[in-house]
Amino acid sequence: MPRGRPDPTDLLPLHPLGLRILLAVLDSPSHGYRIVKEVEAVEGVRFKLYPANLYRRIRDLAGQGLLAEVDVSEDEDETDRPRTYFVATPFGREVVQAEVSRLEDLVQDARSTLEPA
Amino acid sequence: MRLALKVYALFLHLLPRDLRGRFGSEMLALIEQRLRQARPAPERLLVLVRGVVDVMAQAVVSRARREKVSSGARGPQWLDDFGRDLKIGARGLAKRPGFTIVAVLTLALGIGATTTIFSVVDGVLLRPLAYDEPDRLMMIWETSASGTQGRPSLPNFADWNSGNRVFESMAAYVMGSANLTGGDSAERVDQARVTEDLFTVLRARPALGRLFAPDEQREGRHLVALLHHDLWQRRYGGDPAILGRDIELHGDLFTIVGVMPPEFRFPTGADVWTPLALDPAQADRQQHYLLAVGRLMPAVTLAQAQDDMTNVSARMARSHAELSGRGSRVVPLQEQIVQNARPTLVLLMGSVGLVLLIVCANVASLLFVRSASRGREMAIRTAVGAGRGRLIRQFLTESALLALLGGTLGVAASYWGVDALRGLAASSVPLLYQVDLDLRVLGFALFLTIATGVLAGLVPALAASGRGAGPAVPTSDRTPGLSRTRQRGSLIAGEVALALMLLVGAGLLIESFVRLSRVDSGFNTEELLTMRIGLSAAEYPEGRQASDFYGRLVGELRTLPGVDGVAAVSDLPIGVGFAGLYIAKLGEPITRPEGQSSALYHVVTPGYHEVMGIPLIQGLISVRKTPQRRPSPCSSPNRWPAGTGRTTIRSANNCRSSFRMSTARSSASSATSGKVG
Repeated sequence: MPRGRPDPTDLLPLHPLGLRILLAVLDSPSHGYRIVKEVEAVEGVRFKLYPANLYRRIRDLAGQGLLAEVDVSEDEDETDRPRTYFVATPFGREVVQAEVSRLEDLVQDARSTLEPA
Repeated sequence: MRLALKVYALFLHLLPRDLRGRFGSEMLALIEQRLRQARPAPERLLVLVRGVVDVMAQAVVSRARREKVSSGARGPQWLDDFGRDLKIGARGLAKRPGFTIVAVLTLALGIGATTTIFSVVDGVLLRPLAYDEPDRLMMIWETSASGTQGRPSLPNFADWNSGNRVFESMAAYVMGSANLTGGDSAERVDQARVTEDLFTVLRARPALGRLFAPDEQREGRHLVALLHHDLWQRRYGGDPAILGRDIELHGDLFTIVGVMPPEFRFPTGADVWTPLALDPAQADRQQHYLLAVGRLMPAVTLAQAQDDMTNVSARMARSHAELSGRGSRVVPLQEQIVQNARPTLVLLMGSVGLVLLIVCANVASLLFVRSASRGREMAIRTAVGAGRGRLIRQFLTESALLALLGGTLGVAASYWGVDALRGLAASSVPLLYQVDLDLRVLGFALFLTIATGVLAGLVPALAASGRGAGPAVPTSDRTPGLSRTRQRGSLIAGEVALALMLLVGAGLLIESFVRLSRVDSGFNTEELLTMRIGLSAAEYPEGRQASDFYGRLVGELRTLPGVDGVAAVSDLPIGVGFAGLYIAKLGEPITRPEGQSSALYHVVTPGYHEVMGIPLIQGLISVRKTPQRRPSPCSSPNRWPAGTGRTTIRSANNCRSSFRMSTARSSASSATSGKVG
């Protein structure tokens, strides 16, 4: 690891909503509206992600170096108005992987505790 | 939709600048999308409210994190507590939707009504007029020997203008109506005839074209006009080539030389401005019909201006005997405009203030009831270490949240309220066009909301937090103790007292209105329709022509099905317009006006009294048709200001002709109606 580069585990645990946002932008750039749609689709009908909550978290994640704003070519821009697109950085991808590993360990521990001896 | 986005954008200012600056437009776009997806209006409102709560919560969290980062510590405890209280409060309100809806709607009513009336009070009474240095603008009135305030005549105005040393400029004007014809339709517009300095006094510039030139005040060169922006847009589609176009006003062709901007509204309601174009040297000093306005010189006080004008009037009286005892009065323009509306608006503000107090008492009662069911929760929190102050803060946070929701709803409703007031009260409340829900009014609404939240929540908070943990945490919520019952009782008593005050006031107003509507006006208004008609002096220069027109019109209207009777009159009874004349017995000369009996009169067509249902008390109504007399040499050569039917009347003031009259005196009015023979 290069000197000065933070360890992905330093940023764990991720807030569940932060994790959902990173997952929405992990593979391809997305704008705010698409992120909201993906997160709400996963979380269920009762959960609503409102703009201030979304963009505050995006700002914090960007501040931590987990995602970044990107320019999107006109062909890829599916909207009819200027929008900001976000994508997970390589470091962000590492943090997501570390968080998923942590959650998997947690679930495994919980399962073994719940299973009868 | 636009309103909701405006409200949301306002709340975005709570967010830190970096967040708002980077993503503000994205947030607005997202909330707009959510609003569009929400179909019924209540659902849209819910989206807006949740959006606003979201902004507030993120504002708190952002600031807490910033302080945590900068201080390196966990962050200020009070901010963590506040965020937690906000969450607990929101959750608690969501769990009791019935209580929340009732409380929010009640608060919305009180805050909305108060905000609406305050916006009118602010726009009419508190905000200065939209002119440059409006405190320097004055109305100047002429006063009679008895002190009665009235309008100046043109020669008197001219002498004021030339003789004073306190006004840097002075102007006179008169308002009337005119038929604007040409094109697809004719319409009646409000025409202001003004002296050249009116726009100098007000320091107004046209949006297009130019103002009047000095030589355009001369008869023959006066056929130029300025349009108001609204008329230009409405009738001429905002045609950029409007300058130089001719319009027909009361039969005369005027050339448009300029368009005044939309915010220029002097005199109020004016659609068109034309030069007054009257020569003071030839005008009658006894015709008092002008309005005068002036701009004080720098550093001249109102008292100094009054003193100077008094001296000018005294000099005029020495030169003109008929002006003996007459003076002048200087009144600030803003004061002149709002003086009639001030008492009503202050009364309204007081009334909605009382309504708001009732609302606070009402919501406090609701919170009282709700807190009774939280006794166990309070006891547990106290037992685990929460101090009384902490509990009070939580209650106040909840009531503030309620107030915020109610305030948002109330401000949204006040947008419609202000629009409705503009439509209903435009003729009775001046300067309504200045009324707007701007940042100042919204700031007042925010202050009101916070104060309402504190006021409504304080007593229940103090009462509920006073229930500390006893020797053991109670296993159930007990019924309220005696002191809490007394507190609730006091609240209810206060509510009833305030409501009673409002009820008594409303009752008195209704009683006054009922009495007013029962006043015998002296004529029968059942199934009576009226309309205003104006004939241009250019097309009907002779009185006989106008008389023939009205005769034909009345005859043709009589043939319409369902019409029982038709008549024409110069001014409707209990109306604004009137004409006056001096009366002397046959054979006696008419001397100085001060020694003469005078009367108001209306000019009517035959059958007028039957149509109006005016009973005859004495004498008889003559129906003889007499030839139209030539205008007497003494009648004013100046054109009388245009108005309904008045173009057929020549002022009989100072006229030495005599005429035969029959009288039918109405029981309510002292006006005498008759035919001028």
